[in-house]
Amino acid sequence: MITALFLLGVFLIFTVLSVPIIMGLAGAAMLGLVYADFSDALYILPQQVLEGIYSGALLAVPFFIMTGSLLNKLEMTDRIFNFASALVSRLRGGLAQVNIVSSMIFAGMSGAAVADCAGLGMVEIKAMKERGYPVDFAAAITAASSIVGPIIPPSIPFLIYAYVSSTSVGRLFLAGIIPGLLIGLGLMIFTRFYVTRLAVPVEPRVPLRTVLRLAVDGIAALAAPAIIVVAMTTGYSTASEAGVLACAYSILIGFLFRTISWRKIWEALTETMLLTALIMMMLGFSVVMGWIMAIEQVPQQLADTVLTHIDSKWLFLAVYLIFFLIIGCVFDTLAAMIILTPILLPITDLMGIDRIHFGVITTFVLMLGILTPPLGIALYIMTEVSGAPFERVTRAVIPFLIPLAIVLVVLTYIPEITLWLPDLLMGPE
Amino acid sequence: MALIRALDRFLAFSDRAFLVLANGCLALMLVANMINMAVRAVFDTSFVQVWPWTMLLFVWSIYLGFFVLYRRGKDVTVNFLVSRLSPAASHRIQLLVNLLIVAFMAVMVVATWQYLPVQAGVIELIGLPRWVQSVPLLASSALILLNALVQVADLAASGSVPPPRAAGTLERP
Repeated sequence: MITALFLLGVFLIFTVLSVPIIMGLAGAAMLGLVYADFSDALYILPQQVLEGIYSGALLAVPFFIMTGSLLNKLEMTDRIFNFASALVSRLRGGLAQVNIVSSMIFAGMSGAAVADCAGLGMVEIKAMKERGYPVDFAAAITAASSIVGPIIPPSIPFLIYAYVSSTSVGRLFLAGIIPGLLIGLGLMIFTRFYVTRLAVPVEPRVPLRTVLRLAVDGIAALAAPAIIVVAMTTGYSTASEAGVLACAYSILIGFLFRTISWRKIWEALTETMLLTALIMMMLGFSVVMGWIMAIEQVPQQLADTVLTHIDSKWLFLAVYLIFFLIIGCVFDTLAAMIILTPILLPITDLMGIDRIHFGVITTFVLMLGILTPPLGIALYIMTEVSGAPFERVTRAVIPFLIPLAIVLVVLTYIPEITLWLPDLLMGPE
Repeated sequence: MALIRALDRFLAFSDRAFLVLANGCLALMLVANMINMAVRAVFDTSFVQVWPWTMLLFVWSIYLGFFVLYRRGKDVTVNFLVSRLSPAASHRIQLLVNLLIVAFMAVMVVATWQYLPVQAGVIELIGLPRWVQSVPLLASSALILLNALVQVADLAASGSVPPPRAAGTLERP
């Protein structure tokens, strides 16, 4: 246990000192090796990094990122926004509702929450500002709705979780669909009542013909995740091949809409390469930390301690949610997932908590960290995109944590909501 | 200062070269797998070499991208504490952070160098020695070390405070 506290403590100190996250993880892993008396075998470091990233299951990561990046570059964000606008702008809360639905559709393209903030966020905030919405409200709802990105498939955190927990990516992707829709619905209901405090305009009705015309764009965007999920769950392809198929589809869309160019492909490649390198190097160094903890028998010690004091799985889940909410505020989502999940799995297995269910709530609770300071990446991006001060954006986000917390509790204590779809389509495990 | 400028130009050139190589690896992975899937769908056969090559290119792309990522400040950095400090304190923290990176990457270079001979044998179906997998990691770590040294020298010489990098400048999951 002391080893775990040492590693996490060192990493936290480096993070607070503004050491870049990868370097912080590398430093903590190095000091961890020295602490665990492996200072004469430092080659374990690159060895474990390579073992961590050399996995066929992780090969899907760049292809999924590439699909989202390509569709983003091919100007799909405007089309998605227009389609969502045609669908729900008449509802109370007009463009705020459009913002949420756009994020849900975009989630199927990107698998990354911050991609939503940075890409779709610009379109959404500009439109909301023009229609008289307070800028901090626009920024807050954009950040809050971006949470669905890694829950609705494809999802990069789900891929990483599947890798560290040895679970099926297909099952996880299916398990994320209903929770993702519930998060969106929760935000929409909350917004419906919340906007009564604001003097926001009612949008004009969109003619059915226009809705149908824009639906083509919406279907084109939704086809990418459909290809991935269907190809994987039917056994037609592996996760990485499904990613390749989705990339091919994105390029085809570019030709059909005549928005593709060599420059855009190069930009998408660069974006993909940088993000993949970031995720994988984080994963690699986190694997070293996980290896040290395994050597020091931290998972067994933690399981013994927890099981001595907590015998109810519902109580454990309550403690777990609170603990991970705090962790999500101060640790990077993926780093926390890679380091902590393997430690906790022996406990969840003994308590009879389904690994797929655990993966969905773990991803969700950690994603809330991007909405809370000090590490709230979504808040920083929204500050940059909207031009509103950080403090105002942070304050405006707080009310949206209420529906998100309610949905999180519902998903945690009713696992059937998460497991129904994968069990229905792939059979119970 | 002339030496620092020359080193910085070399690092800028390396950054562009590594970017092209890493992107090239990624593009090759994608094209090779697209072709392989098409061949399998049409002729019910596939090139078995594509898989090991894809894995090798994947690893190379990540390792080459490691330096580009660092050089372009695309790693995630949390500045909430440093941004509240006085310019002088912030300068000292920047210096400390760069010194830490120098230390980490020096260890990484030595460790990777030690790891090369440990990777014995050849990669199946490709025929290349296994240690080639880790060569880009060695190169990236060495370049990051050099980059951090240049920044330390720059900070020490000029006393200037570079603007803090925004957290989450890159799309994150």
